[in-house]
Amino acid sequence: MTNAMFTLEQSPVAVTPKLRRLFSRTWGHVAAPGTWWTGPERIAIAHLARANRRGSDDRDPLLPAAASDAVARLAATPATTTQTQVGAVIDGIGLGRYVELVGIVSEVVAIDTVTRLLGCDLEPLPTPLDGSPSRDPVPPAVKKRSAWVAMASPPIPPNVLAAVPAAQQTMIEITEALYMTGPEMADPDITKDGLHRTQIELVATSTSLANECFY
Amino acid sequence: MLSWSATETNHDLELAAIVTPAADPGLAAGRELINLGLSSVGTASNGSTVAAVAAVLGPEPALKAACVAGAFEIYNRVVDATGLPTGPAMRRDLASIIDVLDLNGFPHAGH
Repeated sequence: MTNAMFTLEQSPVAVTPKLRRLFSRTWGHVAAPGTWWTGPERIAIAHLARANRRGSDDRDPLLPAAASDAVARLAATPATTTQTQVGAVIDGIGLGRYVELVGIVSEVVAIDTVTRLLGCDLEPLPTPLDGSPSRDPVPPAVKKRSAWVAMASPPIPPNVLAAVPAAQQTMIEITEALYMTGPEMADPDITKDGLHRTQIELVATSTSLANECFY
Repeated sequence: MLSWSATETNHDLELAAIVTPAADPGLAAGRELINLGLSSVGTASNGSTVAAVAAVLGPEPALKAACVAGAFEIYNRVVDATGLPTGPAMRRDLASIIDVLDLNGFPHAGH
């Protein structure tokens, strides 16, 4: 990934080098072989997520139909996901592939969202990298609990991706940088980059309302 | 988190302002921050909501606000894609916000 990525020159506010580096690293992560999907498959997931978010009903022959359907739903209307659908997708492609797919779609939509809010053109997706998925096993602490997927404890958002530790770690890295760290969440009076906690949560709540996300 | 932060820090936040455009949120740049959050689901590139926040708070907080919206695009998808339940304790703590924002109509409200 090069310094030429994520110039975000059209932004009405200055974009920090730290943010640009985070986005570039994430693009590198998306392009690389994952735990269960290859680099080309991961980029196909990313492309499909973008297309579906724009209202396209494209599918990609590189991906199983169940995966394409899951990407479409997750990118455009995540709140419409049902337990039956999740069970069917996991039956079709496996827990690890589903969790990794959730991570990829979420990361791409997040970075695209920030990019669009900054008034910038979307960054072209990277060229996929060769190599085989790691197939790291699901950690033993991951079990079927109250969610629709096997997860780690306690029941907090990052732990629903625990079946694929690499996906979980990427989610944590990105959300800590864009929002705040776990320890910081205990402080109702924290100010981050000039924005007070209550202002931060006002944005968070408004975004979640727009996505019809109850949690 | 929103109600809790506002209460703990004595901010006179008007929650209903999130769903009532004419209401004053009671926070500096409150209306601008709400508009930014609500516009995150769009598909067009448009820097006007960030610019509006910057006009009130300055560029650094405006960039942070955009980043927070991005973070919650992740959180929203991860929890909805995996059915992470809210749980009775959280529902009790958030009863007022659920009611004011009429969240019981959301697809996963019963989970």
